[in-house]
Amino acid sequence: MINNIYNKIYSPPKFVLVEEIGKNLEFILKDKIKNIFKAGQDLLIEVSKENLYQLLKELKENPELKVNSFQSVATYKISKKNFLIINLTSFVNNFSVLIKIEISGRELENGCTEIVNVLGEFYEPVNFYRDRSKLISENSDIKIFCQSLDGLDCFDLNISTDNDIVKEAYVDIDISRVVGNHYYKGLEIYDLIAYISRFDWKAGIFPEICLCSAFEELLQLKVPERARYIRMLLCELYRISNHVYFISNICNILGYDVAYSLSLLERERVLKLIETVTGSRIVPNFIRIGGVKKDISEEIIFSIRKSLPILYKNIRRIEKIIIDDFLVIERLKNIGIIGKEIALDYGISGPNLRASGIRYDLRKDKDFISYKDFSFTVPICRTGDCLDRVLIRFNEIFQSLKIISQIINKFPSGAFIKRINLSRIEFKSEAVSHGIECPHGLFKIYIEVEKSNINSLIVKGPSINSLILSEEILKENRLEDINLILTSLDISPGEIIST
Amino acid sequence: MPSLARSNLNILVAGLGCCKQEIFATQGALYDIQRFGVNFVSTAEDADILVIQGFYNKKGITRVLNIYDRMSSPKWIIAVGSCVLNENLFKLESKLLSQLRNKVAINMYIPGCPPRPEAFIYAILRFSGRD
Repeated sequence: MINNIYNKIYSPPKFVLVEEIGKNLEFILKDKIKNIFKAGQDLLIEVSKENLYQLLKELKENPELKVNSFQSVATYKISKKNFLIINLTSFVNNFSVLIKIEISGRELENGCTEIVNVLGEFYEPVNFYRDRSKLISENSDIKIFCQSLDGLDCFDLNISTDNDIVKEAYVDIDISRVVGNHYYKGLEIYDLIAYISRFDWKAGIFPEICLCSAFEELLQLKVPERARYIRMLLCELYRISNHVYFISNICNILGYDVAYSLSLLERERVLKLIETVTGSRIVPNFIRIGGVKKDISEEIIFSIRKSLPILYKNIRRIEKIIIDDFLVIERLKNIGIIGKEIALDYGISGPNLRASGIRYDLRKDKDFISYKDFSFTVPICRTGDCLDRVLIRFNEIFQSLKIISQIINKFPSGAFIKRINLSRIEFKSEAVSHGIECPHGLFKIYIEVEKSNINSLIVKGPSINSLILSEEILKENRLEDINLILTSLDISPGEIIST
Repeated sequence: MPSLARSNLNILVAGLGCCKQEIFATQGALYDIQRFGVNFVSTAEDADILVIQGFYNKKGITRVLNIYDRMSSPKWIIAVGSCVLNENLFKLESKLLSQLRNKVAINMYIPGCPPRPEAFIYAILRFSGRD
């Protein structure tokens, strides 16, 4: 009942069949496309370098497709062949496209720059991937090194100013490029699961679930219901921990020590619950292909049930402390505003997108784990300033608590893992892309497998899009607000190291 | 360690790893590292102890060494977490420790991936001779 009313007020994205879009595109662009098929959740289009322009034009300008959000670009190598993969999304039509282009080894650099130039005609954020060292040195006069401010965790910031007002801002992520191109080669799948949680260390369970779900999709394995519920429980606990940490960071920058220490206390309470379930606080290594590592006992469920009302009460208290203080509100209001259109262009997702007034959440819009069993709302805000980004996270925490209480009450019995022998498995040569709604936004993994080898593994976190957008929204703001705006975007360093 | 530094330790945390989150968790009301006179600073000139953790590339290592040079003596280095202790997780710039060891002396190692906040507090107390 409540859901129906809510859906009428805030219309959800359309439900689109990806196969149908594929057939339509194949019909329109006939000879220009090499191959088109559904890879996991996304539509994968193989195209030559020459025909890329026409494909992009069709994708962006066709009113039925409206693929207007740029997500990421990545390169990989399979036995002397180089590939470039572009990820584009349509938040309005609720589907995303992967474009795969083969580049010969000799003209790798030139080919990449050519493709980026073509992409740049349609999508503005692509300019971030160009060589900008000359542009940065000419146009900026102040360089802020990474970790000298709280908001700058993993990148350098070059700015040019005019009387305390930022005129131009350029982000430089050279320092955080620490991941090798082929770190996943020669690794066992279990090792890979342990590694992958370092890609988002503010909420380590999400990369693990994303990777395991992708493999489950490849194997066409159905996970037991109890395992799915345990996964959802951990997802929501990590979401709360991440959002409370975010609020503590904001309070730290504002110099609001009372709310800072109170929110860190609540985070410890959540981390303690996570520790009783997984045995680890930050990097759980708990999800397995086909289920989870350990079962949850009745005692743990009881302890979670007991601490839910305490968490609710205490976080409400922190919210009240922050909202009641007009100084905090004045400081956060009308700073770093992200409009609807710019948010869509730059492809940000998660709470940052919802704060700008666009309702998009994978938990509701796609059949992701088993979230359709529960009733919850996706909170949205209107303005998209720093205050909205703080308030929306408070609302999400309360929705997460609501989901957890429903999970606990409905907890099904049965097996917690479907055991399979991974040593004997041979995959067909397939590609799969899987996305998940992590606390920062849309976390995606793209895998290509052949027999028992992983040919390519591309991890794409949502923080990189927020980082590219920060260049735009820092303009015309004051110098002292830089720290606050960057922190309010909730950029996770773990996601940046993989780009 | 001089008694003046012992009663007012300023710590600078450098690096991109997940240990940073656990180190800053000690600032919270539950662990409250500040009752031992320990503060976290973000300028090299004010720091007594440099904490290195997480992943570094070549540019990162030169920057850490630069920070260490700017610190005023007496100064110490603590290495935290498996990334620094064994080898870099993602193996791009592996054997970071041997590269650093050639140039600076590391005073204490804290194992774990990531180490718990209690481990960090214990290490700091042991380092300042108050365990």
